[in-house]
Amino acid sequence: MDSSREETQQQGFAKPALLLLSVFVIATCGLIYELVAGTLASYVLGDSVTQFSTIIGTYLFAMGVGSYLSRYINTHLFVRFIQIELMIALVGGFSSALLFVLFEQVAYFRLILYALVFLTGLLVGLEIPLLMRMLKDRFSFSDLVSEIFTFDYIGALLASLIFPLFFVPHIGLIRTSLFFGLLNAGVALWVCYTLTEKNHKIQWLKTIGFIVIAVLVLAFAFANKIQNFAEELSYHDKVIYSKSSPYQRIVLTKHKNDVRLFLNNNLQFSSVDEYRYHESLVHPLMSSLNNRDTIVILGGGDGLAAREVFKYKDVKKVYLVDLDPEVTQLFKSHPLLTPLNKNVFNNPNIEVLNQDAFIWLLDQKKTFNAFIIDFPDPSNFSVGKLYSLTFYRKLFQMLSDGGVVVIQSTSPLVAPKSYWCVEATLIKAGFQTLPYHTFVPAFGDWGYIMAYKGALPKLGVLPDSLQYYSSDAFAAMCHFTKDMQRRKVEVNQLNNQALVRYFEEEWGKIN
Amino acid sequence: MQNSRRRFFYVTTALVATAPLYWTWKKLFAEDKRLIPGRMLGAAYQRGHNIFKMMFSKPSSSQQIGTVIIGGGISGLCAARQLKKKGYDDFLLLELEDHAGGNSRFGENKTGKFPLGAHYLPIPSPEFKELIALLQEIELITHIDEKGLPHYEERHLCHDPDERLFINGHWQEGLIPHFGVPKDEQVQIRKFITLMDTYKNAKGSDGKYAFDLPVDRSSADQVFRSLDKISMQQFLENNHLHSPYLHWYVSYCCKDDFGSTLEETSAWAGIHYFAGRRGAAGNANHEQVITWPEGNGWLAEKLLETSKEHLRSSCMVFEVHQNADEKYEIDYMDYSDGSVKRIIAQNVIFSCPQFVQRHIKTNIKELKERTDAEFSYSTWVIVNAELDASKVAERNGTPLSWDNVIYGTQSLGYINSSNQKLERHKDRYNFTWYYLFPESGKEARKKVIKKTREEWVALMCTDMEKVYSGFSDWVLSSDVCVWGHAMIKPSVGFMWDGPRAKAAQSINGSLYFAHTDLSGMSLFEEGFIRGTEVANELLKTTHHV
Repeated sequence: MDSSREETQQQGFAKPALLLLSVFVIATCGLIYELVAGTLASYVLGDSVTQFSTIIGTYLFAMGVGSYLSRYINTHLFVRFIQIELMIALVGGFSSALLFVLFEQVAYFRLILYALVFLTGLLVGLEIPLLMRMLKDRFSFSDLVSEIFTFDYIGALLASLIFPLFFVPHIGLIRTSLFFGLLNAGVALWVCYTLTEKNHKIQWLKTIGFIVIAVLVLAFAFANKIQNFAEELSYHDKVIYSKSSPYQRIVLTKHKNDVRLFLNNNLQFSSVDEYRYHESLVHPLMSSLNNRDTIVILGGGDGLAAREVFKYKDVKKVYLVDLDPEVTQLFKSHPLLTPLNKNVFNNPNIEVLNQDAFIWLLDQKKTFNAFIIDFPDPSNFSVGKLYSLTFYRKLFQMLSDGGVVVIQSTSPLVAPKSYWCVEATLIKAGFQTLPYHTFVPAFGDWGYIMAYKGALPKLGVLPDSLQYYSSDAFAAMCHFTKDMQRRKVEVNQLNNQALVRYFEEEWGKIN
Repeated sequence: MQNSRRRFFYVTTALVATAPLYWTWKKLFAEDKRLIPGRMLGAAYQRGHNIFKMMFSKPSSSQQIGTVIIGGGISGLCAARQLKKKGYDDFLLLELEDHAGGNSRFGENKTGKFPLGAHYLPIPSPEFKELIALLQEIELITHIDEKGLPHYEERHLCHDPDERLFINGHWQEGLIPHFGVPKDEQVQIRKFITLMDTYKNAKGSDGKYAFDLPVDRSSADQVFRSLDKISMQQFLENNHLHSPYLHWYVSYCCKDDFGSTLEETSAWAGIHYFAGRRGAAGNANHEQVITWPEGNGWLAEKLLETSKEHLRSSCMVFEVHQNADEKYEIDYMDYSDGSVKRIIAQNVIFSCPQFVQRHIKTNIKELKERTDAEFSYSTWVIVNAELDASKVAERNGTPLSWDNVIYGTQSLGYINSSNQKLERHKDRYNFTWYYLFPESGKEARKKVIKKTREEWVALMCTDMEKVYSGFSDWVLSSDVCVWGHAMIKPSVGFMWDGPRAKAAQSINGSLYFAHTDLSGMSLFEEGFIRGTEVANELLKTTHHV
């Protein structure tokens, strides 16, 4: 057979049969974009039935519009096809990244969502009619229709299977759409190369094709950055650090001079008013101690309570027991954070123990004179154990006579049952208690409980450098208005976790 | 040319398309072929079965002793402890397995300890004085308050959240079905619970509770004991309780304590589950339980502490022969050195199960006569999966609890041993899954023994998939424990008309019987009281005290 003659008959195209293969790729990509949009909309807007229905509808309708419009493309079919492929590569490829970033930003998110879906559908709708016309002289009409639609539907099946089973769980939405964008761009480039007729237009399209691929690859490589950027936008303030340790998700934000720490999305402090929280936590206890040689801090991995402790010159040793080395390391080294805690982790007199506080306490043999307890709120059963009778009994054993303990104990205003449950448990463990509270703007009305053995600690001399706390202020802190009065509550035991249940009930109401 | 090109093109397309489709198909339908490492733990049944096949040689050594205890489960350990406590030292405890503890043995992996069988003790009634005394002695009870209520060591009480049930697509708190249960069925469930409370407080004309622990302290009144003649299923029907949710719940309870179905279980035993315990404590409510990561292995270890030096483990008794001096020659195979040994003893305490006891050769007529008695057992399989905790994704509702039950499956759910740990963060969990083999008897045991570890692990994973999608991918290792004869079944008629009363009678004032088979319920409380009482009786007869 005279193959050179045959090729010239193929409208300047070398491999018409293989072009059919691109139908398969195109169909897979098309359905993937639709699924990406549906999934993403369900994630951020909820109600997946509505989202999927409306998106599939819009998409199919747009494909119809595309098919209709294809009649107006009459010249340079191959060039148009390549151009359309490249456009789909960009629009579809970047669709999920764009939607992720825009979600928090624009009020008319839905409009953008449907516009994007419509545009993708329109372009995909143009593809198949164009392809059919490109190949119409190479195959009999019945073969052509049969083959094109066969590959179209096989591609659809493939997409619908690999998307939920492989791409979403293993690759993520942003990378999935970028990956399929690359496939579209690949088809475009491949068509460029297989065209026998080379002109400057084709050359130009090749260059564009490479640029598109480069952009998509780059975005694929930095997909995490895009994700973080989207996350940053959702925190209102700028995220300056975010990391998942084996224990929790650590996020730092900054807005002007306000640095905030979030652990598992719960605000731990705001640098603007944390001095109120930490001075109130530390100084009533510190000023009432008869011996300040050794202080134990349980929790408080930010070093802010330790900073207050070192304001007393007679402190010789601080043990800080915090579970997460990522947190203590961050607060030891981050240039924005070390000024906050006055570089306390580089003080030779502090010893950081990255251990579980309960286990650490159980292992102790000798007693201590002071414990400052700054655990996370008892919002789950694992943390709840750190507020249990068993924990406080052990704490009681480990406290020297004349020693004092202070415990951050959630808000007596929002969660009075939780607050008084902590107190009731301390009393049950044998402690005398002195409850007090103060106002911290970032948190609201916040409560603490001092617990001691024997006589009520007398408040002594305070350091000069305090911004908020004073002995006069303390008198007011000990007063509880009617809505915060002590109430009858259960003791928090390991076998009832009463505190976690109160906490859930009370904070559940407002969240 | 045209055709060959086309063919090439079809083949390529087919290949490109089928590779991902094959992969998808595998992911969706094919069995997981990943090899999960692990061990086969539990009963050394091959060792036990040797009693049928082996010709044992003459004993190579012989020693004289006062008393031999055969079987180091809870009853044997309690007998030993009681002897020791009363100052009687002249005894040995022979145990077939490498470790004492019986059904209360436990396993251990990098994550921690986990139960292989019995895993909790319900808070006992303060009237069960002997047991309360034991719990005080082992410091499980810290003190008794002014109201006479015991206070338990909080760490060993089951930590909250203790129980949850996966029902109608949701984890509800507690095991009594209520989420998505229709109103009329809820009414029936409440009616059943009220009825059980009535039985709980009922007393017979002899002044005894209708249902009590130990079971033999229950009232002898016929109105109660006649309930032994019908099945639990019949009992529910007689009371017009037809709710499927209720039937599931009661059936779950019978399976949990007895390993028997509603149709098999004696109604007396079934009611006893709900009405036999009047637990009370100063720092826990009456239905709470005491538990440890290693389950009742904790109790077994405590009991063993006092009599460790008397234990001979890996020793299988195959003959008990009464000689001319009216003493007993106990011949046993010591698997630790492969030799046959003999002990000549004045007394023997049998604290082994009946299915073992009946195969011990003997020339004692009264003992032989007892081997025909009908004792039937349930068959259990325990699979412990060690999991990567960071991967565990929970469904809606109550968070991961100690006891996690899935409505409507053959398994009894799984215990999260890590629930009793105090650490805030857990890298790994031990999930111990309890499976009651749906058949019982010899044929069932044959089937169970044939199955491989991988098959049992796959069965667990399939069950867990109902509540955790992708479960098998989280499993780091998984140990399997098969119990051919797990627990005695209190079948209809077994409690009060069966062979147990006779089988428990001592022979000649020198052969004693203590196993929980004789109670009809495989419970710690029963093993404890039988061991203790038999030891007391022996000491009294031998005028030791």
